[in-house]
Amino acid sequence: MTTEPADTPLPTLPPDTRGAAKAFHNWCAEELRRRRSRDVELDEARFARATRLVLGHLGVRGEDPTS
Amino acid sequence: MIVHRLQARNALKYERVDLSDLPDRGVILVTGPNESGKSTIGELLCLGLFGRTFSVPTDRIERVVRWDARSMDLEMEVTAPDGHLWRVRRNLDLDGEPGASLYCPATGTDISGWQPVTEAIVELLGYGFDSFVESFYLARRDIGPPTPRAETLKAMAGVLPLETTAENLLAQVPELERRSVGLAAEAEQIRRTLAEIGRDDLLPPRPGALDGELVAEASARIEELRSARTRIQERLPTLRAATERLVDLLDGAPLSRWEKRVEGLDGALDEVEEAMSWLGYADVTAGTEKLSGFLDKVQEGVQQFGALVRKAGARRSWIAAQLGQPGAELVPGTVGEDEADLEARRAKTRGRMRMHDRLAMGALVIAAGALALGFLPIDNLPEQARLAGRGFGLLAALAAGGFAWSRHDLAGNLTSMKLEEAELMQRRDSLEADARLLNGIVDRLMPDAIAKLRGLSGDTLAADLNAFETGAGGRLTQAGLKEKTEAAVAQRLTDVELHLGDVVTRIEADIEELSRIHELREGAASAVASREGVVETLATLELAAELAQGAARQMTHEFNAEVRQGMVRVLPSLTEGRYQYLKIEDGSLAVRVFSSEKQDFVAFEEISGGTQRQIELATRFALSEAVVRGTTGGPQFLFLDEPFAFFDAQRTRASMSALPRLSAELPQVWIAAQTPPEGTTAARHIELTLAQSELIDPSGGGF
Repeated sequence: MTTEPADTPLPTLPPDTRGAAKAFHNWCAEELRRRRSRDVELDEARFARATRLVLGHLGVRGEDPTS
Repeated sequence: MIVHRLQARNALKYERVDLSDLPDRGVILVTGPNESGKSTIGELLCLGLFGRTFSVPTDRIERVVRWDARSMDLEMEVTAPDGHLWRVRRNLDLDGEPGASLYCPATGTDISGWQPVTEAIVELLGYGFDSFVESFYLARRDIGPPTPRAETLKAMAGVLPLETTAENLLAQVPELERRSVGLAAEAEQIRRTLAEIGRDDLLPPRPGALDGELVAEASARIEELRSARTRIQERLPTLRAATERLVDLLDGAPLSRWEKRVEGLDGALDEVEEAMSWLGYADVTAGTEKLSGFLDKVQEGVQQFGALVRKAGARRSWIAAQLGQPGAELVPGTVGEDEADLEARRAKTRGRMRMHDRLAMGALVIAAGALALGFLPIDNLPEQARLAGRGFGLLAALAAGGFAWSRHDLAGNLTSMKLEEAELMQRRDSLEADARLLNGIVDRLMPDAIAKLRGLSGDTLAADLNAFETGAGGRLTQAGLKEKTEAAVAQRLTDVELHLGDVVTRIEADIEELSRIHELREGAASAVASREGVVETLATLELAAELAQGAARQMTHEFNAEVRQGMVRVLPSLTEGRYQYLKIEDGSLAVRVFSSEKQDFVAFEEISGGTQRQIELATRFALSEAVVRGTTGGPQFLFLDEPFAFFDAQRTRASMSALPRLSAELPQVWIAAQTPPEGTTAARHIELTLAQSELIDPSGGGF
């Protein structure tokens, strides 16, 4: 089971992730949808890397869905 | 997490603690004078759950062992947010390692080790020691105004890790920017060095080319030079051998060998020159020109010799045709055809002569008969018959004479034919002599072949022989040519080898220079690529910080909404309806409270001290409730140390009454107080005295 929306390139989280990491991941998924609707040149790969970077700082190892 | 049982031996100030069958809901009131050990119970709860307390440094954890003992034991029974009952045990021996276990009878999960047990409990709770102390263990000093404790609120809201992450990420920006500038300067410096090196002859400038292309170009050029060097070095022995083999022929050789060895040297020279042409060096072929000149002259002579030999071959075929030799076609005008014609004419003439002989003889017989009839005395022969006989005989005699004359002419013809035959014989002899000279001419050594050709009859091939002898070919038939030429050719070959040696040395120097250029170009490309990487890292990092800050804002907003919602319930209960709710600014976290009396928000600082403490308690309660909802969501105990210190009796009673009913998330409320609030009741009341070293709750079992 993952917590990753299927249409985003965001890393998937371990299912038992909670707290700031979980909240951050959910917010990023929403933010990605918002940016997609207004930014035609959105660099989704960079967005995913940035998300993964923050998750790493939060001690969560997100799995890259594209790998 | 709800605590059901707490038992300890030789822990902190207590020789023994045994609190069992603790109520799941309601206030557990712990009362006693200062130094009686009220806060110690809170510390024992911390120790059991997280293996540490807030009064003992983690690196001096042995201090939790009572002063007169060598070891400590502690056991707790709790219901975790997962709904299961868990048993925690910790023991500490001053002479040994600390030990711990965590066991769940329902699932059979059994974890051992001081730190693993702590980690498992943090995993179960969803928060660690710091968050626990901030959120659920509230000493009097902690129940303070939230404004100056924005960091605490942020920690409770869970945004602190995100804000810390954003700060940490942004802290890397200046260094990355410095690296970006440094890498750009490094690339520029390398380009300047490359411009100073120049060497446009080796690598012509390519404005606009990408760094990767320039590196590949330098690599390719180095490979070209290495390949050319290898080819030149590999072909030198071939060139020497081919030259020496050609010089060997100067003693004389048949055409086929000449052609083969000329071709061999030509090919060897071509390969060397082709290899050198790859170099793109302007004057590089000059060194082989003399050897090429020698080859050209030999080649020209051999070509002339070849032309002669081929003409001789054609002449030999022509002779075969002239002589009508087997396999040759008989064509008009050839000796063979003339001989056949002569033979045919001779046979025909002889036939005519034989016929004339017979006709003459017949005419003579007739003439004799007729004359005998005319002149002999034959009786009864009429005169007319006699006269006719004489006339007919005369005519027959004349005819015989005519035939004899004609035969004579034919005999003359035969004589002429003999002369003609002699001429034909002479022609045949001459042609056969030429044929003998021409037989095997292709396989004859050059001087022998030329001598044979000179022996041909008449002016046959004379013009070609003259052209050969006065041209390049003539030199190839000179006596002692090999001895005369050998040393000169050897010198030319040596010159070529020396020249090629110089070329190889130049190639090696150029390869070295190119390697330096290649290395510099690689350096430039690497610096540019690294800078691109740094720029990308910067962009990612700034975006990451932006996302972390955005998420933190959102979490703060949600947490505040959660707290405000909780406050709507909690604040009126604790302030007896005088204050309805409060708001915390998202950014500054400044607190403003809505007064029922004023029907407006008032600043926290404007409220009386006692009410401030009530609001603070309500705020902390709502915050703790929000933390539970934001983490595990399960029921959680709350430990309040002297929460009513500044309350009057009325406020204390109201708070004691309200607290256990305010939140489903915080049903078990531990309250430490010096004296029991008047007019209040608790689900469990634990009374302590100053000299007490054993805490045995009457409701509890044995330890």
